[in-house]
Amino acid sequence: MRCSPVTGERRACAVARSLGSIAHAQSTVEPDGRCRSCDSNKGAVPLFPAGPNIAPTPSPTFHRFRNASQHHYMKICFVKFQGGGIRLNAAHFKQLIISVGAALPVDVLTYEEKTLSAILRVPSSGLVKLWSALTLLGSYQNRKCAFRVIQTSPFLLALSGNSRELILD
Amino acid sequence: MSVPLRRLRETPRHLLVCEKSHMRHERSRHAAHVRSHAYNCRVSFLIPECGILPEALKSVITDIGEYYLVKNLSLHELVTHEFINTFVKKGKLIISVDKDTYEELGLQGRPSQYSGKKVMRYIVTIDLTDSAFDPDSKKHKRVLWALKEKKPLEFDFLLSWHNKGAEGSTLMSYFSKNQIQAHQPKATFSTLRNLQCPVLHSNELHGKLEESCSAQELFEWLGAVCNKVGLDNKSFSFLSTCCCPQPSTVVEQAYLCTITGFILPEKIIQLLEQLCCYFDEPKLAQWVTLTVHGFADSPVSWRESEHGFQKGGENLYNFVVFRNLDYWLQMAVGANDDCPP
Repeated sequence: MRCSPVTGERRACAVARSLGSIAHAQSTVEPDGRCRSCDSNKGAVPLFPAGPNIAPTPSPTFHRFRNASQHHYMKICFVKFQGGGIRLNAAHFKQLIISVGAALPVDVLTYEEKTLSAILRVPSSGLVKLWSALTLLGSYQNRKCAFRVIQTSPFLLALSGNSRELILD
Repeated sequence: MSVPLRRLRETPRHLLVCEKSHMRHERSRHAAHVRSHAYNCRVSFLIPECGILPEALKSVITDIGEYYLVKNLSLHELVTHEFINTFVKKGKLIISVDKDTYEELGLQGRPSQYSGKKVMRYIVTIDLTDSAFDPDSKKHKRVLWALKEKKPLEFDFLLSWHNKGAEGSTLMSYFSKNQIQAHQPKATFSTLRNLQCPVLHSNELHGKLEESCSAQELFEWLGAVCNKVGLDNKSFSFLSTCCCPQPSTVVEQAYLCTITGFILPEKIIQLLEQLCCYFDEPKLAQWVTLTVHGFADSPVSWRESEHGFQKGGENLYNFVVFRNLDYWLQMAVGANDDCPP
């Protein structure tokens, strides 16, 4: 590594960076970007400054967060019962949610137009209202339809691993 | 506010426990926590500043081992001494049943902690390796009679066995008459580009204003990454205002691997060890994460804690391992669950 004389930032070989290793980035990167260690010419890239994560924790500590999630997350799917013809882009989908969502601040975190499925984020105090409103929707543009709530959780991470969707070949 | 309106605004109960320690600390309980969470359906790890999977991790993933599906297996097969002597060194059979089944079974159990004033669910626990459960003992005969004749119960089972090199039967040969099928856990790999990552300091679990993010913020951010949620929204965006917690940095690439199946705790410990060994050589990454999801419909979560599967069913934990081997362990459960240990 060498310090840029202007900024003083540390720079490492770009090949070393792609491997996630700074082991051979300890060597000099020439002004033309060539690394003396691996002789690659991918150029130099900034290295993160060392964080203050040096001293080990003296002893284990524990913290409990009860009902601390401000938001709840819902994985839902829009089901059409009468033929096709309903196309909803992300903005239309959000508009539909707003129209049934009892004036709650809802975020559409993900939306898949092909399957009409989405992940919504709602303030925890509005979960029951939104869920009820989605359940009560029976038609859209004069066609029978429904929302299916596939999964709901106060933890967004929980929505990425649903064993109830596990498929065995 | 009237009672019905107040109920509309009630938040379902949930709990997030965060533990901070060091991987090599003598009192660190990371291995105990992993071992006590038996039923895992999904494991994923994220390595910032990494574009290629290290060989050591690749070999752990390759050797993660099969799991098995046995359909229409009678429950009494799991309490025979042939099965116990072959596969169960120490363990209990825990059955969660509704009121009618419990009364028909005629075995001693206890009411579910989460069944309310009118008990509609019972938990029956049978210690298979207790001396009182020896062959020909009264208890063993009673249990066998209840499960075989009084109320025969049959289920589709997912089985996995940590075979410490013991010779003799394997699950495949033991259940060959039950049309047992072997399955390999599915692994998916992806490299995420230009990922906004929160800045973390290992000794600041609650975060520090303008210096580092908290464990809770990291947990939510990781959920966004695993669900492919876009985080470059503005406060005035129509679709979503969700964004990366601050302070954050942008990493050029990050390696995300996800393994789905029925994964044993011992394999997760091996993965965790290899993630610690990732920092044996100097690395650009400040930290790596390992996330484990439990089965939503398991009757237990950690150890023998009753798991309320009637609602969301979430029971998951996440390790953040720092360069200096400090770690954060976040354990999350939803409604109808005991506090994780």
